[in-house]
Amino acid sequence: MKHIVLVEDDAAIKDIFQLALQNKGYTITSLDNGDRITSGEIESPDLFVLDRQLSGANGLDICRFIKTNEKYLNVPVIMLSANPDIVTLAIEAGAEEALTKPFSLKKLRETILKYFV
Amino acid sequence: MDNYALHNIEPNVPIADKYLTLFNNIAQGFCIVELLFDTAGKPYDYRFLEVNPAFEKQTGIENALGKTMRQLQPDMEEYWYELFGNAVKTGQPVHFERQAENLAGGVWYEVFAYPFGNQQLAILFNDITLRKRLQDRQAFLLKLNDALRPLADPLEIQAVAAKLLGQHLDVNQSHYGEVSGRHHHEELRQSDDVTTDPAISQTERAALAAAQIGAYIAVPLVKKEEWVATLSIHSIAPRNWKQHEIELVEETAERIWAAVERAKAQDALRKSEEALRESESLLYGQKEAFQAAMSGQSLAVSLGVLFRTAIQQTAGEARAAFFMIPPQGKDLYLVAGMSEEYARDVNGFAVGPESMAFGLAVHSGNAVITPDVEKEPLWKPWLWLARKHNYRACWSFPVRTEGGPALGTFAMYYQNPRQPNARDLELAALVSHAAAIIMSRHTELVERTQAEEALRKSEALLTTVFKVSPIGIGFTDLNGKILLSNDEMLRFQNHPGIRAAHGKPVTPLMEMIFTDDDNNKIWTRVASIAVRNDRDEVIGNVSVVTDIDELKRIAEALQESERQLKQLIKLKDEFIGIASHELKTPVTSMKAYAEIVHERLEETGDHENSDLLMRLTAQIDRLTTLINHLLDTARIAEGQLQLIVESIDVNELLLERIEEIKRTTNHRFVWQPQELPPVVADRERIGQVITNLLSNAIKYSPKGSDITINSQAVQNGIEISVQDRGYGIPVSDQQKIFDRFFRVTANKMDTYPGMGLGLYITSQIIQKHNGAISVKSEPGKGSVFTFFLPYTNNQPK
Repeated sequence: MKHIVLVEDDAAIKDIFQLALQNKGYTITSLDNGDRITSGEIESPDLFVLDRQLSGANGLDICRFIKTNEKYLNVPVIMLSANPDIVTLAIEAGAEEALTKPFSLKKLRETILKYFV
Repeated sequence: MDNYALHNIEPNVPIADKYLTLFNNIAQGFCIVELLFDTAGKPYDYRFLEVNPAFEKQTGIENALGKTMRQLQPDMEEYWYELFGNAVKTGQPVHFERQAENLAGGVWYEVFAYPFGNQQLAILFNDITLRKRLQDRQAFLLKLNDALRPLADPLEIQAVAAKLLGQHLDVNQSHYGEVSGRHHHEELRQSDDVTTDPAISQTERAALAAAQIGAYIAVPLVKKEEWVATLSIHSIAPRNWKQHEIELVEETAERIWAAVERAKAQDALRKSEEALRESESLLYGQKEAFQAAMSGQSLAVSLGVLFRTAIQQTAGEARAAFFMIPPQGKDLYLVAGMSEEYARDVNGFAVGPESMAFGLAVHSGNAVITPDVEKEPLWKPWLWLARKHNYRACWSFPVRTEGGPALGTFAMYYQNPRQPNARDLELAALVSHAAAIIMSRHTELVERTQAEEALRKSEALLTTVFKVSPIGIGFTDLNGKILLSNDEMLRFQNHPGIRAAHGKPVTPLMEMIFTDDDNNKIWTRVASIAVRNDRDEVIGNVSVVTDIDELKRIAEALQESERQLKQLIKLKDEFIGIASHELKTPVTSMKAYAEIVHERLEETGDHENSDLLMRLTAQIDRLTTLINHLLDTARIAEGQLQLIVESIDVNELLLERIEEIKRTTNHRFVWQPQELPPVVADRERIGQVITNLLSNAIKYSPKGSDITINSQAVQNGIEISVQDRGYGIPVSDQQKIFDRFFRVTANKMDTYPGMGLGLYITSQIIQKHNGAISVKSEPGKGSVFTFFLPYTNNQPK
């Protein structure tokens, strides 16, 4: 089972991820914020999906933490945002890829799948 | 003989000796005669008893002793016998003067006769012919003078004088005739008998005979070596002209000449006196007219004086009028003279060649003389006027100053046809000249009055403006002392700006805070400029101080409100940004849920419901587009539209976007891909542009119609166009369609509401790429949108 950690404070998006990827061999850990990542509590997953706009720390800050923390250093990060400029900002923050909202189910699956082939 | 005489004068011998000596030596003639009487006692002769030597000399009678007068001189006048006879009869001596015409060529004698003894007379006599002639001449000349003195006419003088001379000399004809231009000297000519005169030729003789001239004297009158006249006297009978007669004719000729000259001189004098009187009266009239004009009387008054004077000069025969072109005017109007009715009839007559009389006189600058209007064809259109006002002659003279333009005309009218003489023209010239002076002065006066009035008004206006101006204006001298200031300036007397400006040619506008006496701080604007006199020396400064305190506060308030407005706009754009962002998250979920349900229905084969869900998805996509537009617009407004550029293949992008949009529509897309070099651009944004143009083409054209895409490389870049066969865009809207929130409004399009942001964003993206976008459209035929992208967009926009 592939392990994906999703940091997202919107319940619907979390739900979409579950529904889109269920029965496809993924385990999704959904977090409301990045606290458990920055504390190192979460085990290193196969993929991080971080929403940019969170109630606590900014998704880009979490990404930078991941990319500078030895524990998560090699885990790919996909940034999520409604703002199209996330594409550049995500790369700058060390993320592998950015996915702009709204996205189609197809696009989501294709993007995720890339990191498990 | 001698003895006989002595014997007869006895008895006083010794005394007689003395008298004998005296008797023989005196110059007077002396004789003693014995009167002889006929039987009737009438004296009929006398015998000479004694004669002295002077007797013969005085009488020309020789050997008179013992002989009688009738023996010696039978044609002696009878009165001699009567006079001497009376003396003897009465015994009284007699004294008389008488002429003996046939004695010694007609001699006048003064005679003293003393009777004595027996019918004897002692006669002492003297030849007084010369004195007599002189007296006679004198008397004639006096008479001539008296006759000529009252005469003024040269011809009359000549006639009267010739007549008197003729009478005096007792001739048949006397004639004085003037000649002129004869420079050769005419000789005096005379002939006592033309029939025998050898100096007269046969031809002349015949002519003289025909004229019944038997004798003549012709006296030429030569003045200044010039033969000027001849006085001639003729006698039918031959006549022995005497020297004194010739001399008298000569003298008379001189007198006639003198009298004629005097008459001519008097005539000239009289004429000149008359002219003087006339010109005096004219001058007086002129002077009066000038005085009237100078004292500010109206033109009608001053010209009225002048025209009355002019009429007086014509002895009231003429009527006259002055016409004038008013300043800045074109037409003539009557100023003075004639009648009010005439003025009404003629006022407004145009100046010009077609205008008769005064209008023409002004136009041509020459006098227009019509001696008889009835005979002048050009007068035909105005004959009614002349007839109505009863004149036949009309003379118009231009009134103009020396070298100046014509100001008007002076016109004279005569009831009867009349040609002007030299004097009339002279009068007209004088009057016109005077009128010109008055008119030009009047024009000057009017203009000056107007100018003064304008000046006074503008000065008053300036003073008022200066005084009530809300701007402080002050003039300071070289010591910085305020010499002149307006009310507002009183507030700023100690303004540092004024002192600072002192002596500088120009002080630019400065804004300064001025603290007044009450310690109020006032924002002011001050400027100053040096004032120079005629010699270009600085004599002071003019300073201008404006209270801009209120202005400043308003400006500050304005700046504040502008700042607030900007803040509000920023907040609004931020809000739109955040709002649209926040909107996207639920939209994302909605879309994903719909897709998941769609997948599940597909799996169960429920295509009907699956299709409904696809429609839901399409609407969510539309919502997403709208949100994106809002977001982009907010970004553009904030200047945050940032491009992520890379080298892109526009053909690939076109293919991708066409394929994507093809699925949502039944329009046919026509595209022949051309080989295109890569361009450096934001792939996502250019894709957005293509999609936007394609979806607009779909939106605004009939279902199933062709949409033609054209792509080609051009100089420095590529050009992409999207052409539809749609409704087109009205020309008036073509320039506005790239504006924010602009929407083409047409009946067929209201099925596609939007926010009018698509083309705005599109054009902003293209501009950000240093490209260009344009539209060509014809309503009813469709539109072509074309954008250009440079290969590189390295020039920042």
